[in-house]
Order: sequence, then structure tokens, then C-alpha cells
Amino acid sequence: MRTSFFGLEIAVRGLYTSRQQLDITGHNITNVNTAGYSRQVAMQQASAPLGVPSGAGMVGTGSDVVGISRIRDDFLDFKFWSENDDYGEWETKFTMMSELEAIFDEPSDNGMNKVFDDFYFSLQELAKDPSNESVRALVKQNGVAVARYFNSIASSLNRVRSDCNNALKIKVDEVNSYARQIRDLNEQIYKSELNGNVANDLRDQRTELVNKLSKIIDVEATEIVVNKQGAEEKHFQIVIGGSFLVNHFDSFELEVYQNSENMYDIRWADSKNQYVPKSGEIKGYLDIRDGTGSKGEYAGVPYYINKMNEFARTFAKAFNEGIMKDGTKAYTGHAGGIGLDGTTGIRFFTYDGKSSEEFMADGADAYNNITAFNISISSDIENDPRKIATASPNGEAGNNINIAELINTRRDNRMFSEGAPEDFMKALISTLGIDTQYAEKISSSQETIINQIEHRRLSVSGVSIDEEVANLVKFQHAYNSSAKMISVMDEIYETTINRLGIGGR
Amino acid sequence: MRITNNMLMRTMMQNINTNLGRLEKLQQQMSTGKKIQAPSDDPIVAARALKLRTDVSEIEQYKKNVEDAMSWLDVTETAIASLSDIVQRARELAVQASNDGVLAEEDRLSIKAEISQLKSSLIEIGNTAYAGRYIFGGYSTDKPPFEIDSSNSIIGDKLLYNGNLLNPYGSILPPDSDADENELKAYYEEILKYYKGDESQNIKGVVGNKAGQAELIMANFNKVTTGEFTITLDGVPKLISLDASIGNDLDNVVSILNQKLEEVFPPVDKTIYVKDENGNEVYSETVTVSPIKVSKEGNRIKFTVQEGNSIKISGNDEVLKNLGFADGVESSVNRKQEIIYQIGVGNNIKINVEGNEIFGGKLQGLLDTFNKLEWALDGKTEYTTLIEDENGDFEIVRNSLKLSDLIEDLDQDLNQLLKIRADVGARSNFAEMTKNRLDDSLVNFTELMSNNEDADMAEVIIKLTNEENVYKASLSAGARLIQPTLLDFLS
Repeated sequence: MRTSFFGLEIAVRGLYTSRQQLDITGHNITNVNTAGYSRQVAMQQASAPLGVPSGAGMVGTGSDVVGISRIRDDFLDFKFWSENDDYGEWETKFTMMSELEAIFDEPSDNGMNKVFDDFYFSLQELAKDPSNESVRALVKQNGVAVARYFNSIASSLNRVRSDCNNALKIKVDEVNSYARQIRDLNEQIYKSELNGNVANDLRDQRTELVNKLSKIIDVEATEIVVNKQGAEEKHFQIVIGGSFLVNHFDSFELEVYQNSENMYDIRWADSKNQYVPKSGEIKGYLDIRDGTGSKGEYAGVPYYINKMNEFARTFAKAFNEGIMKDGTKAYTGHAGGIGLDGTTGIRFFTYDGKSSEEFMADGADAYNNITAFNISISSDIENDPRKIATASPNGEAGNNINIAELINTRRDNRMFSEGAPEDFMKALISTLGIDTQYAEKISSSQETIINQIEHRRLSVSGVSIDEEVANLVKFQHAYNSSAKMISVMDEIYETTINRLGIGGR
Repeated sequence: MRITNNMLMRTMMQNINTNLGRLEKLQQQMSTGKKIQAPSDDPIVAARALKLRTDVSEIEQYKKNVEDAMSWLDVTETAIASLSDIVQRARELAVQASNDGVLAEEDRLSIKAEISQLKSSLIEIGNTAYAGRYIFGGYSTDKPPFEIDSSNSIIGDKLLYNGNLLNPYGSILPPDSDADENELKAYYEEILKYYKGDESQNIKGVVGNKAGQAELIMANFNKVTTGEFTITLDGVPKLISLDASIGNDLDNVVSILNQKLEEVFPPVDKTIYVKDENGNEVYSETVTVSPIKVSKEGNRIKFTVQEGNSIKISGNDEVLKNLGFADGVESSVNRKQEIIYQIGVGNNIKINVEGNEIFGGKLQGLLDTFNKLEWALDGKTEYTTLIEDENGDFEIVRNSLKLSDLIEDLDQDLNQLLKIRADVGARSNFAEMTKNRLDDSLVNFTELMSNNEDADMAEVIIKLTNEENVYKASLSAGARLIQPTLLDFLS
């Protein structure tokens, strides 16, 4: 026999269940725009039925919410983490390479062409009038411009290097900060879940942090199940480069230290073991900062600095000495000519503004000491453009034999292994263009992959307002119905309690 | 597939972003007029742009060069035309003087005065300057190349070209027809002096001052370093060794170098003689000539080949460098001093005419003819020359002087000038042709450059309009998409 208030009991359960469902719907709606949020659903089931002693079956007792779970596809998270690091790496490379493109500023009217055209233009003018001192001053000025061109490219390239270096430090700090936050969340989640619940929102937060971390560095994040004194515990771990960054309640820090080049290297703060990133933004910055383009390294800033050094050095040698890339002496060179004042042996290009004599005192190393940073015109030419060696021996004022030879260096295919100066630059700019294009392509295709995964994730875990509103209506109706149920029961009790048994009065 | 609101939002944002990105690219192309903004937009276009820009600027430079060459050649042509006019006028005067049988004294004087006038005009034109540079001086563009040396009135006017005697063996003013033996001897001695020169009297000798002889002047003297170097004279190499103890006084160094050179290249004797009608020597004098003379020119050492055709210096870099010489430099007789302008890749044009071509030439030279004209009008019937015999000695010979011969000389001079003028004209034509070709190339290459890197405006505008429409469409689609939810339809 059922108890008198059994019906009321069922109705109250219905009210509770609907209220809880409404709460969850409300929670979902308010978090519709929360990053990393996964929609939650209540697991509602019919509560345990009661057997009817008469054997006429089991009587339902209403409904119960037995748990709240988040809808999430863990596979998509893993997929996201494994793709996001490549995206981070190539996006960084693309950004930095675009900066290099801006530095070289080709093709434009301010690039290498312009500088060299101006220089050779003034040499041509001087060849036509070697005794004209104002043209000589022009040659000097344009010579300075050539040297400055190298200097400014080199120092801009170096600035990119140090920018990368600073970015590296910031990124390492970010990694440490995320690691600490994840560790803290691990603790909170562990404690929240001790009683068997699932800490949905905390887990969402943790996943979101790993998402951010996975762009900076190559992470392997796993949640392992540990058997601890008979009880199963979940431990969340993040491994980078074979070592734990986060292991359950422990987090480990990375730190930067200055290497021999005065640049930052990364190591573990406790073990001092070096950390070498495989991908992620950190890898992107490192490759741009250190990549020499040889031995399988990425062609980063050092590659371009080396190339510009080689350019400056080879060009200076060809112009000064007439010596080509393969070591043949094709021209008398500037040093072999005679200036208007009768001097000879003057080197047009030296470094750090050294005089020709100081420069040659370096001996065999002289040209190896020239870099794109320090190339300059010699102080001899700086102080007296009459020393520009236009003439062949005998040195008459109108003798333009040497300068005419010097002009030919512009077109000489033997100067570089790539060919003439602009061929060298052409090759360099092509490499830069192709590499940037490659970085852009990889970065945009990675972005597409990431978006795809994010799309699927949103499809699975995202909050649909339509759905929630529908649920809202649904649960409101359910609530209303349960309430109605109570009022029906109320009427029944009113009848049974107050109206019954008064018939004989 | 379950679709959520944020998916729609994201997809829409992504697509609008992509559209906007394309719009930005096109707008950049539109505003810069260039197809590419960075090499990564199209590495091939970027590389080609670099090359084509160089080509275009080079062609512009060549065009400028050829225009400068044309101006120089124009000035040269005008100068040579004026020279022809002068020679032509001189010929008219010579014909007039020779035809009129007995010329009245004042006519003769006025003709002579005009000839002298024309003679100095010759020199003036020889010293034509263009933009401050003397066009007939070879490489010595900084000073007037021609100068008349009248210092020796017995020898007569001599033409100096860049400071050296242009026609050293040309005509010499004859002695007075009634000269006695002593006067003749004095005359011969004067010719000897003219031959060997006399620095104390500032007389330039033929021996060391022939225009076009091999000579080397190098860079400024620095110091003497102990060591050796080689001097090769007409293919015969000789070693010269120096000792730092010589010191660094340039005068001293020069005299020591002279001594050392005389040791390895011994001086040769030259005799200058005169024969009488019967072939007997009536006068002879011997001069010792060092094959190489070392002298000082400012702070520089000069090697002049007095006997021989070529000189070369080579050897230890350090020793030579300190003396002011470069290893391996050489010079030979009649070294060409061609001023070359570059007017294309591997295409050069010689723009100058060297003065010695005009005033030297095959004959004894233009000035010589005018000298002789003056003498003939003065009533001289003879002139003298120095003739080198088979032994390398010199005979003083007296030749007869006739106006009719001189007219022939003038004709030949005129021919010579015409030939040079034709040559200059041909070069002018070539320059003109090259300029036209360069004009064409400039158009072609500019077009190539433009095709390579400039955006096709019509295409860009059409694409831009299209993209704008797409962008607007995606915006309005988005606006409709985002707004409605189920809420809008529930009361």
C-alpha cells in the first residue's frame, strides 16, 4: 500500500530535478562566450522504484539528477595540442621573416639597387671627368652610402636578433607561469574530485591553459590513473622535451641564462640541464635568432648577417684589390690606381673608418675583419677625395683607365659565386622571399588545421543558445507540470482530509 | 553535425577576415601601383625586379654617357673644322704669295703677318677646352697641351706637346746665307745644344723630351727600402738593388738611381755631324746618352726612356711600393692616351683625338709647315733638319725651301685633318646610333620592368570592386546570421 503523501514526494522530486536542469541551462547560457568552456549536461534518471507487495509491478518514484558532466572530446584536445606548437613556431617565423623583408626593403627605390646604382653612377661621372673634385666628393659620399647601407642592414638584423632574444625570455616566463597555474588547478581538481565528482569548470580552465601553453612549447599532456592505497587517483602531467614541466602537484621551472654570445639559452632551473625546444613559438624565435642556414639549421637572421658580411667583404676586396671570388686578380683594383694627388695603394673600403695603411697592417686577415657592421670608406678617401684612384700609372689628370676598370666590377660575374653584386642580392632576396612564403604557407595551413579542430570542438562542446533556450522551455514546462502536480495533490488532500467524513453531520 | 552559435560567429569572422585580407592586398596594389609589396608575395617577380631595375638604371647611365661623348665629339669636330679653315686660308695665302712673281714688300709683310696670326690661332685651337678640360691633351686634360717654345731664336719656334717636343726632328731655322765659318760653328753648336738640352739655360733637349717616348711616373715617393727590383728595357731585364742607407732625400735617390741604371744600361755615344758637298765631315760633336734617365717630378720619380721603346718595372712589392711604383707597370713609345666612355655592356667609345695626331702626323707637323711659310716669306731659301743615319748618329742637313713645295705640304696637312675629321664624324655617328638604340632599349626595359612589377590597374580595380562586393555581402549575411536565436521567436 502506498503512503498517503507519495504523490507529493514525486512532484517535489520533479521540481528539484527541473530546478537543477534549469540551473545547468542557466550556467551554460551565461558561459556561452567563456573561452574553453564545455557545455554541461545533467545526468537525469528515474529514481529507484518501489516494489508493490501485491506483486502488481514496481512503482516509479520520480526522477533524480545523478551527476553533471561536461561534453568534451578529449581526442580533439590532444589533436589541438599536437598541432598548435607547429602553428606557434611557423606563425612566429612568418612574423619575424616579414620583418626581415621590411629591413631589406626589396624591391623598392631605397634598396641595394639604388645605393649601388648611385655609387656606380658617380663613378661613371668621375670616369668622364676624373679631375673634377666635386664629382670626387660625390663618389666619396656615395661610397659612404654603400658602407652605410651595409651598416644599417646589419644593425637592423641584429636588432631583430635581440628582439627574438627578449621574446624568448618573455615566452619562458609565460611557460613558467602557465606551469604554476596548471599545478594549482591540479590540486584544486584533485581535491574537488576526492568525493567522486567531476570538476567540470576547473578542468575546462586547465585545458584552456594547456591550449595556451601548447602554442609556446611542444607539450605532451596526459592524465594518468594511479593506484594509491587501493584507491584510483588521476594525476595530470605535462612533459616537455622528455622532462616533467608539471607532475600532479609539482611544477618545474625553466630559466634563461646568458651564453657565450650574450644571448639567452634555456635550461631547467633545478637540474641546470639544457632545454632544447622541438617546436612552438620558442623554437620559432630560437631558429630566427640562431639559424645559420647550414647543417640543417633554419636560415634565420645569422644566415642573412653572414651573407651580408660576405657581400661586404667580397665587394670590398673586389673593389680595392680587383680580386674575384676564386682568388684571381681580374683588375688592378682601387689600390693599383693613382689618385689625383699622386698617391697609390689606397684602399677605398676599410672598416671602422681605418686608414688604408692601418687596414693593411692587419695582414692576411684584413678582409676577414670587414663585416657588414663595420665596413666604411677609408679615412684617406674620407679626408681627401683626391686620393680616389682614377688613373693608371703615370697618373695624368684625365687618365681614367683605372676608374673605367673599377666600373666593370659592377657587372663582373666572377665577383661572387652567385655572379655580379645584384645577382648575389637577387639570390639572397629570392631565398628570403621563398622562406617567408614557406613560413606563411605553413603557418596558414597550421592555422586552418587549428581552426578545423577548434570548429569541431565548438561543435561538440560549444553552447548552443537555441538548444539551451529549448531546454529552458522544456524544463520550465516540466517544473510547471510538477507544480501542477502538487496543486492536484493539494486538492486531493483537501478532499480526503477536510471533506471526507462530514457526510453524516 | 551539431552547430553552435559560437561556431557560426567564428566561421563568419574567419571568412570576413579572409575577405578583408584579400581586399587589403588589392588596396595595397592599387595605392602603390605594384604587384608585390614584399619578396614573399612573389619571390620570382622580386628577383627579376632587382635585375631589371639595374638594367634600366644602367641604360640610363649609358645614355647619359653617350650624350656626354657626343658633346665632346661635337666640340672636337668644330675645333678640327676651324683648323682646316686655317690651313685652307694659309694655302690661299701661299698660292697668292707664290703666284704674284715679284711680291710688293708691304704685301709680303701683310701675308707674313697673317700667317703668324694663323699660326697662333692653330695653337689656340689646339688648346680648346670643353667644360674646363683640354680636349687635345690626351690624359693631361688639366693643362693646355700646346705651347710654342721660342726660347732659342737660332733654332726657331718649336712646338711643345704636354711639355715635350712634338716634332723634335722637324725643320730648324737655317743659318744666315752669308754666315762665316765661326758663325756656322756657333750655329751647329746651338743645334747640338738643342739636341742634348741644357737645364741651366732652360733649354729642352731632344734626347729626354721627345713627345711620346716611353716614360713612367708613378705615385708619390715614400722611402727607400733595402731590396731589389727589375727594370726591363726593350725586353732586357736588369736587377737594381737598393740599400736603405741611401736615405730618403729624393734628389739623392734620383741621382743614385741614375748611377745604378747607367751601370746596367751603359750610356751610348751619339755623334752629330755635318758633311760638305764632297761628303767630308766638317763638324762633329759627340754626346753621351743614358738609355734611361731618372728625374724628379714634384714628389714623384720619373723614368724616361731616352734610347729604346719600352720599359717595365717589376719585383718586390715592398721596395717598389715605397718608391711609388706598382709591380709590373710598363710603358712604351707612343703610348695611346685614349679617353674611353662606356656606352653599353662591352661597348666603349673613344671620345678624344690626341693632339699629336693633328699636329704631328705623317709630315713634320702642322706647325713646321707654318714655320717654313714664315721663313719663306722672310726670304729664306733653305731650312735645316736633323737626320738619323744608320748608326743612330745624326747628320745636320740643309734643305731647299720653296713656296710651291709648301703648298703641297699644306695640301697634305689638309688631307690629314680631313681624315681625322672623318674619323671623328664616324665616331659621332656611332654615338648617335648608340643613343637611338639606347633610347629604344630604355623603352623596352622600362616596359619589361613595368610588366614585371607594376600592377595591371584595370585588373586590380575590377578585382577590388569584386572583393568589396564580396566583403559587403559577407557582412550583411553575418548580420542576419548572428541576430536571431530561438529567443526572438518566444514570447
